[in-house]
Amino acid sequence: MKKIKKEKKDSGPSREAGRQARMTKEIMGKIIKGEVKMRPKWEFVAWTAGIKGGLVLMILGGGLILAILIYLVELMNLGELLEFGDLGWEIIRSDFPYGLLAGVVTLISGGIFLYSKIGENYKKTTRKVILIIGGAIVLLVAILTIIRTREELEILLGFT
Amino acid sequence: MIDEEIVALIQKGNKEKFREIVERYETKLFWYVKRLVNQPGEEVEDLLQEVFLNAYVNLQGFDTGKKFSSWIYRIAHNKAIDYFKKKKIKRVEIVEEMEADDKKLIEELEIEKEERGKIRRLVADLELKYKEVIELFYFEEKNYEEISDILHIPTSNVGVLLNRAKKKLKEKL
Repeated sequence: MKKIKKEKKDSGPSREAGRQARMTKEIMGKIIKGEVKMRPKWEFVAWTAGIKGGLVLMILGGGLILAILIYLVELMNLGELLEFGDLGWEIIRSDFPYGLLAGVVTLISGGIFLYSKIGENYKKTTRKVILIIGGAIVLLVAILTIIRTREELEILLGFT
Repeated sequence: MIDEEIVALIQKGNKEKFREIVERYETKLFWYVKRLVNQPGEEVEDLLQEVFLNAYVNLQGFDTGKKFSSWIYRIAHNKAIDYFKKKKIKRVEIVEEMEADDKKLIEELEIEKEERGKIRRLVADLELKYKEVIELFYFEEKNYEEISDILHIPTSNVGVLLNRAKKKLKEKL
């Protein structure tokens, strides 16, 4: 526990006025002399655009990788493999696309981190959360549909 | 002229107008920071100077459609947090007597006459998250929306924190 010294009150009109004048003089001195400069507006604009762009890329990338992961897991036919007991588990463990899972987790974590950097996200309302989750589901379904349609097209055209 | 109009002028290059901002906020922020960090005046002055200079450096990032006072209080809040981290201070024993100068808080807590003198000491001794919300609501007279903007927490959490802080104060009394 750190103790602080008993001190005289910093109040009192003259004391306050003196402190304010000294503080104003020091701050304005640094500003007028150019010792302290404002950061240009474009830096803030670029920073915000970068974060928002990164967030969009992470959502798209995360959605795409998640869709591929689900597709590959479906191809593994987990239900059938589990019927083989320990052997089935062994196959699942060895064939599971861990890299993709890691990719999804990384992108989701990155997305959450970037989202936390966007101003006023603390004001998120239930409606916004529903919108984000709903949007993610729509995106996922859309990507899965595209992958499946392509698979069916390939079968139809005799590519497989 | 309101704060946001002054800031718009500074953003356009009128550096001298920053003087008005310093003059308007110096006393308010001095006491706010002092009550948060419980440190001698000289140390608080250094912190406060950093707050103003930081505000000036980042002024182009301020959206004049928002409330400037919440923005600068947010900077002061961040500086206080940095100060605690840098100095590794977890708790500060307050030796200095502080006056109970807030009637609203005293009324709400229904404090007995003889215990009124203790109130500022007890507030200062609260955990930072509770202390800050009490300071902002009762002593800086900020509303829930402004506190939410300063502390970056949802408005609903402001009410929750305030109630918990008052409960803690009552327990201590």
